[in-house]
Amino acid sequence: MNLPTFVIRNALRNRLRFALTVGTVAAAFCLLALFQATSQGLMGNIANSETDQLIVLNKASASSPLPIKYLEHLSSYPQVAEIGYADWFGGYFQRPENSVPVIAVNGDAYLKANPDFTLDPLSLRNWLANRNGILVSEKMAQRMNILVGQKFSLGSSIWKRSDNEPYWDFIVSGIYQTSEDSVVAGLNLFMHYDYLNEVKIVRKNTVGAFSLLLNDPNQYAQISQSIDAHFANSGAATSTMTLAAYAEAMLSQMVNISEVIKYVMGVIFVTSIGILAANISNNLRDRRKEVALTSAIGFSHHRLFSLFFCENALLLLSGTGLGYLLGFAIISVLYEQIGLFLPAFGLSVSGVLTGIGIAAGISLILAVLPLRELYTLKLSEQLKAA
Amino acid sequence: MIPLTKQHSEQDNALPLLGIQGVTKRFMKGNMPVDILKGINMDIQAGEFVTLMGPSGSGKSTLLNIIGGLDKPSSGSLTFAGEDLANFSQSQLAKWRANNLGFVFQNYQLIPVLTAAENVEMPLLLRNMSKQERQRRVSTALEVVGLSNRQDHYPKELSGGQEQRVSIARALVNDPKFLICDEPTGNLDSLSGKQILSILSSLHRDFGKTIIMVTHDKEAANIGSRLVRLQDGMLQGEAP
Repeated sequence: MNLPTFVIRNALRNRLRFALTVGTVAAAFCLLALFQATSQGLMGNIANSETDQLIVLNKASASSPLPIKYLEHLSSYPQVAEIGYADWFGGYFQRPENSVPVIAVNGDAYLKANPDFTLDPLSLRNWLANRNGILVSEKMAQRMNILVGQKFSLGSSIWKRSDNEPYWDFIVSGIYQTSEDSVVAGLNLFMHYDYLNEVKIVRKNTVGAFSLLLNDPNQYAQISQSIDAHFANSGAATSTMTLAAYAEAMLSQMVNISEVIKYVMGVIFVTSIGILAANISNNLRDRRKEVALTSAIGFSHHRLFSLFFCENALLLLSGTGLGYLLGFAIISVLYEQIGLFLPAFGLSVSGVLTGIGIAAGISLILAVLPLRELYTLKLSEQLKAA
Repeated sequence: MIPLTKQHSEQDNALPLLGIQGVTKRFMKGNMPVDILKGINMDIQAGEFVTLMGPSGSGKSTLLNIIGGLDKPSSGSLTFAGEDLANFSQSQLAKWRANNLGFVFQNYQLIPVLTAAENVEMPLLLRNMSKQERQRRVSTALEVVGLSNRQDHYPKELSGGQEQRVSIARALVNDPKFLICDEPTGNLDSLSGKQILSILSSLHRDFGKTIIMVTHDKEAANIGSRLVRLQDGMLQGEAP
């Protein structure tokens, strides 16, 4: 026998209690794993993204337009390699509640300014040759069984046609792919900006946003400030930011996931401490004589503290491991559905290490609890008691 | 008997193994102070087998606990081989107990989740010792108490007498300077009690172990080399 064996024997002496405790801890950490996966899905690619893509919006609000003539000034920056522009179409299929995320873009230039999207040359030629051609993301095409050459009509909840027709006709020119590490979900459909601009009645020659691709990612702060300073006193002041910052800002309008994660971790921390403190308290009550004995035969308080720490760590790390395994299994199943929208949905090594760190921290805190008991334990009374 | 060394010699008698000078112990019972020990003076030489007798409440277990470093005296001093234990910290006392003492309790105090051999091995876990050496010592200690064939049994699978023999083996396995036995036959039938006393007697006679034993049993008290009587917290007299 050695001390680790002694720790394991002690931890497993009441197997039902051990199983229930590990199960509870596992449930808590499984929940944490799911939240971490969601956070990774929503924020993971944002955190890792490059800063070579900028987006220029109206400073007043993201839904306010910018004049297309801004293109001239934006093109004057030698650090800007590609410029695209886009406007929301606000599409829907048959009824407004069946929204379809269509964006009107300036053709080839937009795709070059957004290298996350890739399209085969044949489809690109096909799209550029068709005024009402539309590109569909691979994910949407799979989800909605859309094929190249298919025709459909969409309504717009934003724009009215100059000919008063209710629908806009489209023909699918190609299916584009979105890179796995993109900060955008890659679900949009791309129509031609010219098609929209020619047919709509109001806000002609305006765009929702400009997309800039920089030669040097390190220049993003300087260029952003320069653009915003230039248009500060114009009719439509601009707000320029990285695509990642824009994605994060859009996301935070829906949910502040990092705050949610903090709360979940806090709840897990407190719950685990409560459950395990009760467990340790019961254990100590049951084993007071044995603790007195080990102390009597020469185990110092320091060594007894180490034994309690190891016993807690065994409980918590078993629960943490089981929780992450369960979480991983659930995440694998959920990825089939959620992965379409959140390609980064999953567990990261840093996430798992955070969980293990929390477990180790709780073990340490809980090992302190028996210390008070150890220092006040009357060895002679315990060893004499029947 | 590989791990057990014959420990005392004539030279050892020059300095008492244990010196007890003016030891008192006071407890508070509510607001009332109760003096359990009222100034005990006693020397114990290496190789002695001292039996402590006295009625309930006479203070014999309290004295034994003080001698074993499980409790501290209210006043007075306790020296071990000339070294004063009064100022030892908890960890120093623990180390001292691990290196010098073996305990045998009335209630055996075995750990139920460990086998007999593992219970005996417990004190050795504190020592920097190879697994082979630990196993050798455990086997020998169990052999001394006649339980080699029960080493893989858990306490619940042993009789009271066998449990106490495991407890003695645990006390011996570190080859301690002296054994402290608190009513070791108190919970046993007479046959098992005799076996335990025979083992203790052999440890004293054959291996020169210093033993201090508290007992209520006159027959048990007579196996020692020195009988000390306690009455109302004071020594009443000794019989050689």
